Amino acid sequence: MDIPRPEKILVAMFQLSDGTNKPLEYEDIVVKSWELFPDEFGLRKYVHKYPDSSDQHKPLYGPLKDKGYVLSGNKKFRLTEKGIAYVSELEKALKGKTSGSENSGRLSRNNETQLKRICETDAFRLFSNGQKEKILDTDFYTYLGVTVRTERHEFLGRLKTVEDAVADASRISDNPKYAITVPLHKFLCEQFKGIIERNRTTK
Amino acid sequence: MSKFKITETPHVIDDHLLNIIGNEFKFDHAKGLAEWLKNSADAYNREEVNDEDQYIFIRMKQKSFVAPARFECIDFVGMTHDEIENAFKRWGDPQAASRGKSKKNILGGHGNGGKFYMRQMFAESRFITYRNGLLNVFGFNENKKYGFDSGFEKKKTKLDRAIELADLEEVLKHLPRVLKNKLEKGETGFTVVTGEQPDKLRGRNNVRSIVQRLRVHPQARRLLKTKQVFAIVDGQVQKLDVESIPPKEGFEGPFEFDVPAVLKRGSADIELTNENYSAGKLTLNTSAEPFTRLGDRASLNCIDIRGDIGVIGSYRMNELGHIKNFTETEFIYGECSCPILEDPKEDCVRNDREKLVDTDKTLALLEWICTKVNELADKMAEKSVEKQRVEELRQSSFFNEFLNSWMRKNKFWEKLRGEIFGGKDEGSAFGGTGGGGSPGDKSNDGDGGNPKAGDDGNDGGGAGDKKQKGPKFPDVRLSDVDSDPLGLCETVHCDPRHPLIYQRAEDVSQSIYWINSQAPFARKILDQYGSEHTRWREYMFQRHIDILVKQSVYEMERREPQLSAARIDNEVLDRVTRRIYESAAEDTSLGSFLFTENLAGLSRAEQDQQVASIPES
Repeated sequence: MDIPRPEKILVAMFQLSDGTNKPLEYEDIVVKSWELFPDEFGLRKYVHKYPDSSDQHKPLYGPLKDKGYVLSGNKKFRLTEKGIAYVSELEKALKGKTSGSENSGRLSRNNETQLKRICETDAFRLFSNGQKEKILDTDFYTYLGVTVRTERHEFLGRLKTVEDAVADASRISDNPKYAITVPLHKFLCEQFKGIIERNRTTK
Repeated sequence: MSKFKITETPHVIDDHLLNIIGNEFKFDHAKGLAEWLKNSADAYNREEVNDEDQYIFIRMKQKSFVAPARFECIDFVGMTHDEIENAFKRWGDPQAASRGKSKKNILGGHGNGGKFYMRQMFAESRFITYRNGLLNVFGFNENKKYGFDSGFEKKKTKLDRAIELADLEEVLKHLPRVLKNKLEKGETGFTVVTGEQPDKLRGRNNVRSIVQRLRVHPQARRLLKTKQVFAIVDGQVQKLDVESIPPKEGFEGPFEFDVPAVLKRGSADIELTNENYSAGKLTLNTSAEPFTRLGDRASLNCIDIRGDIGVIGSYRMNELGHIKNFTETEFIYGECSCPILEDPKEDCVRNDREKLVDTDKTLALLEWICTKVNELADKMAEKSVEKQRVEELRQSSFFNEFLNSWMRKNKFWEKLRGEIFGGKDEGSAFGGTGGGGSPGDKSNDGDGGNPKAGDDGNDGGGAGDKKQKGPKFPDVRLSDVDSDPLGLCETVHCDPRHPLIYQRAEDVSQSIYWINSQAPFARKILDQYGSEHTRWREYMFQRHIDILVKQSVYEMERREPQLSAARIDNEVLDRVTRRIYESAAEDTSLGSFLFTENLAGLSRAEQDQQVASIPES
C-alpha cells in the first residue's frame, strides 16, 4: 500500500517517538524517514546510501502543520494528539489491519476531547444561550484552542482539527450538546472569516 | 319603553358654556395661530390647491400710539356667505372643517380651535373674507358675541376696494404672479382673520417669541414644512421654515419601532390594530443639543401623536410616564402614528388635540412609548458615561507613556531576552518567531538556518552565530483612549470580556498591546479611585509586566516546542518579575511615579519632564 509523502514522514515520526508527542529533531526525522522509505527520501543517485535532508522540510511546515498533525518550534517537531491518532490508524492500515476509527461508529478519543473542550468555552455558552452577538474574537481563538499570536500554520492546523471534530460529531454522535457545535462552528467561521483569511494568506 | 314621548326641540345653550369650553383651550398665542394656520390650510385643501401653492401670511403688528396690537392670518381662498352661515357659525360640528367634502387632508376637525382663539384671546376679532366679488365681515365684538358687520354682509365690492379694506397691498407684493392673476380674475378670493388687542402680550410673551414658538409648535410644524407660510412682523417678512435639528453624535437615528398589535395593561389585552386600522409606528429622533436649553424650542422635546388629519396630541417627555433618565431624555423627540386612535368608536381624540382622551388604549400606548424613550435614553446615558470615562482616562495616556519609556529606557526586553534565551549560543535554533527555515544554509555558521527559507519565520532570529533580530519592544496602549498606531481605527474598543491585555491580529507583528480599560477590575479601580489614583498607576504597571511575561512565554515557546511548567515558572515568571521589581525599587523616577499621590493636572511640559527624568539604564 502506497501512501503520500507527508504521511510517510508522520509514520517516521510516530516510530521515532514511540507513538508519543515528544519533540523530535529534524535530523532524526530525516534519517528515520529515509530508513523506512529510502526510495522516497534518498539523495538522488545515492538513494540507498544517503538521505536527502531537504525533502521533509516542506511537508512538515506546510500540510502536516496545516492539518494539525504536527507542531514545531526551534527546529524540533512533535506529533499532536490528532497526529498520533491518525498515524496509528495509518500504521494499522499499512499492516493490513482494519481501518481506523475515523470511519467507525464512534467518536475518536481526540475528537471527543476536542468536543468536550469546545462545550466548555464561552463561545459555546453564549451561542447556546442565544447571545451569539456577544462572542468576541478572543472567544473564537479560545474555541480553536489558539491565541492571536499562534503561528499561522498551527492556527490552520487547529482549525482543521476542530473542523474534523465538529464534522464527526454531526455524523456520529447523538449528544445534543455536540449537535450545537455544528451551527456554532459555521457561525464562528463566518463571523471571524477575516481572521481565518488572514492566516490563510499571510506570508 | 317609557309611556312618555319627548318632542325634540333644538338645545338652548347659554354663551357662558362657550367660556367654559374656551378655557379648556388655555390659549397660548402660538397655539392659537397654529389653529388659524390649519384653518387656512384647510381652505386651500378644500379647493385642492397643491401644498407649494398654498400661501399663508401671519401678520403681526405691535401696539403703537395710534393702534392696538393686532395679529392676522391671511390666505387667498375666501369664504362665501353660505359657508359662514353653515359652517363657521356652528360650534362643535365635526363636519365644519370639511364642509361636506372628503375629510382627507382636512386638519381642522371640529373647527373650534380657531374660533375659540378669536373669541377668547382678543378684545375684538373678525375676518374679512372676499369671494366671487362679495365681501363679508364677520367677527366677535367686545361682548364676545359674534355676527356680521352691519355694512359688510354679502357686500358687492370691487377687488381693489376689498384689498384696501383688508389692508393687503403689502402682502400682495409677496404673492406669485399666478396667484395674483387668479385673484384678479376672480378665480379665488382671500380671508384675513384679525384679532385686536391680544391678551397676555407682555414681558417675554412678545411677538418675536410667539413667532419662534409657532415654528416649533406641534400643530404647525408639518404645515411649515410643506406650505408657503410667511410671518410679517412690523413690516418685516420672513418665511417660516421648520428648523432642522442636527442629531446627537452616535445616535443619528431615526429610531423606528412598530407599535405592537396588542399591549398588556394590567390584565387586559389592549388591541392597537384591527382589520380596519393598520399598525402604528413610533419614530424617535435625537438632537445634538438638549431641548430644555433652547428656550422656545423646548417644546420640541415631545412625542407628537400623529393621525390622518395631523397631530392629534402632543406629550412632553415627563407626561409620558416614568422617565428614568431625564438628562438624556432632553435630547429626544419623535412622533407616533396609531391609526386606530382615530376610530370614531374609540373617541380618543380631544377637541383641542393637545392630549388624547384618557382611555385604556391611549394610556397603554403612552406607557409603551415611555418604555421606548427610556430604552433610547438608557443607551445614550451608557454612551455618555463611556465618553466621560474616556475623558477621564486621557490622563492615563501620560502614565502609560511614562511606563513605556521606563521599560524602554531600562532595556528590560533586551536584557531579559539575553538572560533567558541567550544572544549567542551554539545555535541549534532557526527561524525566529515562526521557527522555520531550511537547515544548514551556507551563510550561517553552525546550523542556525536561513530564516528566509523558513516557511513562517516572521522576524528571523535564531540563536546561531548570527545576531538575532527578535520581537520588537512592546508598544503598550490604553484601549478606548489611545490612538491606533496602525491607523485601522481611531482607537481600539475593548469589551469588558476581553482579556486584560488585548491584541488584534494586526498588532502581533508590531508588538502592540492594549491594556483593556473596560475590564471589570480596571473599571472598579477607576470608578472607586479615579484615573489619577496610585492604584490605577500600579494597575497599569502590573499590566506592563504581564506583557513582558507574555512576550517571554511566547519567545520561549518558539525556541522549545515543549514548554514545561518549571521552565515557565523559573525562567519567565520568577526572573522577569524579579528583574522588573528590583529595578523599580532602585529607580527613583518610577518610585515617584508609583507612589506620589498627586500626579494629576500636570501640563504637557511637566509630563514630558517626568518622562525625561527616567534615567537611561
